[in-house]
Amino acid sequence: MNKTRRMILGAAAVAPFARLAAPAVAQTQEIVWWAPNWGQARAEELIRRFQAENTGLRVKLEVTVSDGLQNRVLTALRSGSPPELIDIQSGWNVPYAATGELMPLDEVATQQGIALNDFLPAPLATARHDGRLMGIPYRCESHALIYNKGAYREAGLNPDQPPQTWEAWVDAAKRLTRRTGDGRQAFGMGVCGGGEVGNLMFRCMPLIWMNGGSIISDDLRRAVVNEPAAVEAVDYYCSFFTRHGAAPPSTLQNDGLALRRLFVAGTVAQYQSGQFDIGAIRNENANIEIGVAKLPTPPGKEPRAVLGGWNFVVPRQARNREGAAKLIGFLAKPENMGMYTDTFPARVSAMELPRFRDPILTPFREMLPFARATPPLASWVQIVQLFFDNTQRILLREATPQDAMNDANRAIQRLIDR
Amino acid sequence: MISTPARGAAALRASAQGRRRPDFVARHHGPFFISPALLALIALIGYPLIYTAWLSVTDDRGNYVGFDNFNEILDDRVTALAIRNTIVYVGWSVFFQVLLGTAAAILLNQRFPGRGFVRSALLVPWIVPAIVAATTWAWMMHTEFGIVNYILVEAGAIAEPIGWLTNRDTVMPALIAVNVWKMFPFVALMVLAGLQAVPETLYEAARVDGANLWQEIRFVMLPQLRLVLASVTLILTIWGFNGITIIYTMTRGGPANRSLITPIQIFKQAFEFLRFGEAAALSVMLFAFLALLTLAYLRLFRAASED
Repeated sequence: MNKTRRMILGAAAVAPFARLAAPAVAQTQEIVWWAPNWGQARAEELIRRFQAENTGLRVKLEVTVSDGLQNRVLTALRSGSPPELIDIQSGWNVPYAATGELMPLDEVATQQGIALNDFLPAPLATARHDGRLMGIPYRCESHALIYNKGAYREAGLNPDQPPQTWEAWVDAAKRLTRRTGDGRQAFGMGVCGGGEVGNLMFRCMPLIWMNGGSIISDDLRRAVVNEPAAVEAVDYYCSFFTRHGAAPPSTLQNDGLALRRLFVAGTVAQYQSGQFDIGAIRNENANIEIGVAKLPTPPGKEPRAVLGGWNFVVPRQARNREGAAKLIGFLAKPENMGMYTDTFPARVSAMELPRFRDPILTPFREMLPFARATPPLASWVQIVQLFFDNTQRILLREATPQDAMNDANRAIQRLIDR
Repeated sequence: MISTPARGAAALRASAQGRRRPDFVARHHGPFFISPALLALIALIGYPLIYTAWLSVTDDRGNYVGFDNFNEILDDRVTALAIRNTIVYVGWSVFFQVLLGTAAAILLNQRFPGRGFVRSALLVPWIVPAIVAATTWAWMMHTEFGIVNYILVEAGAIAEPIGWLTNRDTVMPALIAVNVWKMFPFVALMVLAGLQAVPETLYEAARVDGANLWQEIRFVMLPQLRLVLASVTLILTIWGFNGITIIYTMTRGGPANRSLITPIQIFKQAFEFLRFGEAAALSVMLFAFLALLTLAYLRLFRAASED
């Protein structure tokens, strides 16, 4: 009786410590992976394959959503107990690396046999900070012009000859702005003037680049967004709404997702976006005949696009970094990367897979060589906000493009000079 | 072996200690019993406060930089705009919340059929989570898809859809309206509780003296509600200065910072721009302002109680 009692008491005394010890043992074997919801099914399939190859490791998938992800990742990085592997947008890689909370991956790439020379240079550049590799890019994309072929026909435009110059683009947008057969008001162009702050920069910066301007000088020391080429491009983009009335009244509320919804609803006939929208449009309104074209340019100029994409990163404070390295090595294999990405893969060899040969993807693929990464500045998110705020002032007609960009330039320069 | 006088002294000491112990426990058992809660409070409130104050005077690498972060954030043009917006948003919100809440409470204090149901239904806006309410209102006020514009256009009240949340002149009134809708039931609830504590005899005495309804409200009801209204106003003001859910969900401070308020600026500085020092500096200033406001209220409250 006494013995039994002692055993019970002893077990009760040890139990809390056993509970503390148990996760520590499990954590050495477990890899927590934060992956976005758009790739959940493919991620689960890849985990099954990875666990079959690595019987000692268990991957726990935690699905993330884009809204608020940037803050959630930042909080996790600073929490002291982050996941082992996180998928982040490529534009966040440098700012996160600047906080010192990411693990350099140069050695991981070497150990895992990841051939960095097989990667497209632009995505790889998004993962470099102070000469070190702070992420592994796996997805890349650029925008093209998505248009409604049926609306083109209704407006008397040739759907097989989408606009190639800025002038033709505005003309098409004006003609596409009309009352439809059922009496609804339709608009020729979707301008991104609200919602997700980063979406505007993705659509406006290519126009600035193709017009010969920029937001920041190549040496990253000077703000140049108030120079004539940049101002002209910003003015051109805003003019669809401010001067031509070819963008809907909700323009100051519309981000990329809202524009897709308006396109699906037949309210806008053209907008800039990536190939990730194609599947969604087909699912939501199969009656729309989708056209895709390279972005129109000023006369004699080359198109440009902002390189978008996603990278894998490993937090500095991750407990099972060895497991994370193995998982990255597995996911970075061309066939796995080609399967996992929602758009194009970051590796050249993965681009040869059959799923990337759909003809509708051709204009997106043709835009890729013209895509540039955003400037690798830790303050880039703040610069994007400043550009957004001042472009909204133009859309609100409370400042001229030159005045708004002068204000943006001053504030951006202050950030650079810090 | 202890001698008899020594034993006597020891007994006296023990007896004295025995008498003192209950006194000591009686005197200190309060602090003793609240000490766990106090420690938890220090850990959960004291630590973040001190850490925020420390962040406000350090750079990203933890080096002491004096008031640099304060200077940086005060130099930012957006800061002044955000402060102005905050004062407008909180001021008008609290004014209408108290006005509407008090009116609703007076109404609900009357006897009428279905009073119980109306009292319960009134609480719905307050009970609905702020994020749900804000998202719903954002969709209702959407220029293209919103039901507000749909109803107004169909009824012929407006010719074209209005950009409630994208027009510089309508965005702040629209947000204030949502905030008032969300919080006035709280005021109604508090004032109703206060009204029920007012003795009926006071009204009867006023009626005997020939007071009409307005005079009853003005000279009997409102003076009795003074403390409730003061408390509610302070709480609403503090919540207003700290709350970001409605505006962040509906406009994120836009368009062009027209609805940016200081708490959202703090949030953006910290979690979007990763400028923790400047966010902390702004937080310290906001905290100091709210602390002063609370102190002023406590003094007023004490003076009123003594009256």
